[in-house]
Amino acid sequence: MRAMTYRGPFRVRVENKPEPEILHPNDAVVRVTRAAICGSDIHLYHGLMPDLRPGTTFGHEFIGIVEEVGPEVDNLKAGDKVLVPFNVCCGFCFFCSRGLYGNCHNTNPSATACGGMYGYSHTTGGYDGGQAEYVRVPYANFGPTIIPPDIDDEDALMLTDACPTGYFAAQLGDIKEGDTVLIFGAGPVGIFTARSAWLMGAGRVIVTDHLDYRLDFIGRYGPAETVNFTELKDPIVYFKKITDFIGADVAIDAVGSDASGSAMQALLGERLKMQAGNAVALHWAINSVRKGGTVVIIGAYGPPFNLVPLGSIMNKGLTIRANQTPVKRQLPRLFEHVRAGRIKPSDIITHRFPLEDIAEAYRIFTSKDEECIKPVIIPERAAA
Amino acid sequence: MSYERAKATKRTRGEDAVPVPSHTARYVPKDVRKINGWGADLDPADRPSVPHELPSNVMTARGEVKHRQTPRTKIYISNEMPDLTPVFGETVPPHGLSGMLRDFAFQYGEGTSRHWMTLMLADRIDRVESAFPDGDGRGITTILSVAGAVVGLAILVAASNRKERRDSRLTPPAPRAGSAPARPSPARSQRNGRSGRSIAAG
Repeated sequence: MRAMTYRGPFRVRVENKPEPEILHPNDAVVRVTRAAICGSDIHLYHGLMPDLRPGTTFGHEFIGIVEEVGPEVDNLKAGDKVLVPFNVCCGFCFFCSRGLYGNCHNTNPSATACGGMYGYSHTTGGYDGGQAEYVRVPYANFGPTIIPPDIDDEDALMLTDACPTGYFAAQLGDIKEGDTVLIFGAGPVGIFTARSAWLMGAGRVIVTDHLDYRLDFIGRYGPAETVNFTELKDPIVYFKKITDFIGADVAIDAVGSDASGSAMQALLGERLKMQAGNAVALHWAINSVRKGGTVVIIGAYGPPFNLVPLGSIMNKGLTIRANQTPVKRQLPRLFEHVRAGRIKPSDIITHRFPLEDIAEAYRIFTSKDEECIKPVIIPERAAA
Repeated sequence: MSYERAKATKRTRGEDAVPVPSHTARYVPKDVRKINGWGADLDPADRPSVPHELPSNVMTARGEVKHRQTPRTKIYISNEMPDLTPVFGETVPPHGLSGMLRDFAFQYGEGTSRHWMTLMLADRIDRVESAFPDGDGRGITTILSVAGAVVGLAILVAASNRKERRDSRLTPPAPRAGSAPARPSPARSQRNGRSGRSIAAG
């Protein structure tokens, strides 16, 4: 089969790889019909995730048709159209039984720091991802969800990660009626976080980024107040000023380890790799939230460590909330929101590429060319 | 913060209060309650991840495992894991010098920077190793990568030797004649509680 493969930092290409097999009675093999490149794939593309081996296929956002199921799979059959949450999860371990599907203990032997994920290095279990023609889906009885007939395919694709993650971030913020929510990052997750903050009853939603085209999109889609931080002398002082010098009630880092805005963080985190990426968004979130407020980390960071102002967390009495999104748990309510027209996830898709052009897709997405917000990958066998 | 206060703080927004031209709220209605879907999940009961953890009677890490995948390649197991997980990915098995470094990294727990930094180093070496077979090694980039890897290895070895010397200085003096024989000292890896684990192809 044809599959995207990582060759080293900033280098990907499409290669021939063996088709996946059923390796466990609860496995399925899915023929991918649509995959997306996630903002967190950019962290991989830049080589920021440890134990990321050349030859790995990325892709944790994909939908497809079930081709084959193992003997223990009884709620899916060949021909079903499914969306596959990015978490590889069993549904019955200590953590899954508590609804923490992003922290499954049965799918990642190499690290307890993270659960299993598709196409996200051996630190998350060593599974190949969905930017390919076929993908192996473990615990198919639990993870994959049949796409309801009234849900559009590309809406379903966005429900595998980006949309539930933004929705989950807003929930982690424990937003109360009238709260001021400050979101760092106007990428796909930031966009859905802004939309979700209104669903939770926010009073103000402010989004900052350095890309005007993304700010313009989120300003309309959220809607949200937007500000380009590159025009600010001191973003923290500015955020304090526009909140009556109190600070936001909830600050959400929807960027992760590939942030912009601090030369020192970029040098240490991205160039020298002395920390798990560039943590400037988190740094700003901690400093611009009000005392006693909540900081949500939904942007992805690698496992080692980062430079953040721990003293401020303690002295301001902040609540830090973070986790990988338990996607499966979000889906029933998100289907309702999509049906009611409160969220239209596929509106953020700006580009579609054939799988063979995936290197170009990564280049455009990473360099933010052509006002790219969300690229979708279409394998040649999608229509087979 | 109350809704009224949020409305009040809005008054400070705008060019008079904060003269920043890019700050815009032109798409946000004055009454945010008119935004499509506003407050649909205001009641926490409507939020699917509230509470964050659901009640459960499962008290073991793995729960009830019925089937286990059989490894066909070398799979590393974190030393913070009880055993091999019931399922795992088998893509891109470890190989060559980078594989040896990964072996080394998995002797250490996830709380140590040695574990993660060695894996990062292995990734860089793997990038070079993987470039040779298909002939896309790129001259200066490849040479610099190899040079960087060698320097990194030298630093690791030097750091390890320095610790060895420090440990040897802390070793108690040999017992005098006539005293009870000293117990054999456990291997250094045992002293440190290290046990690199992996499962090879069965």
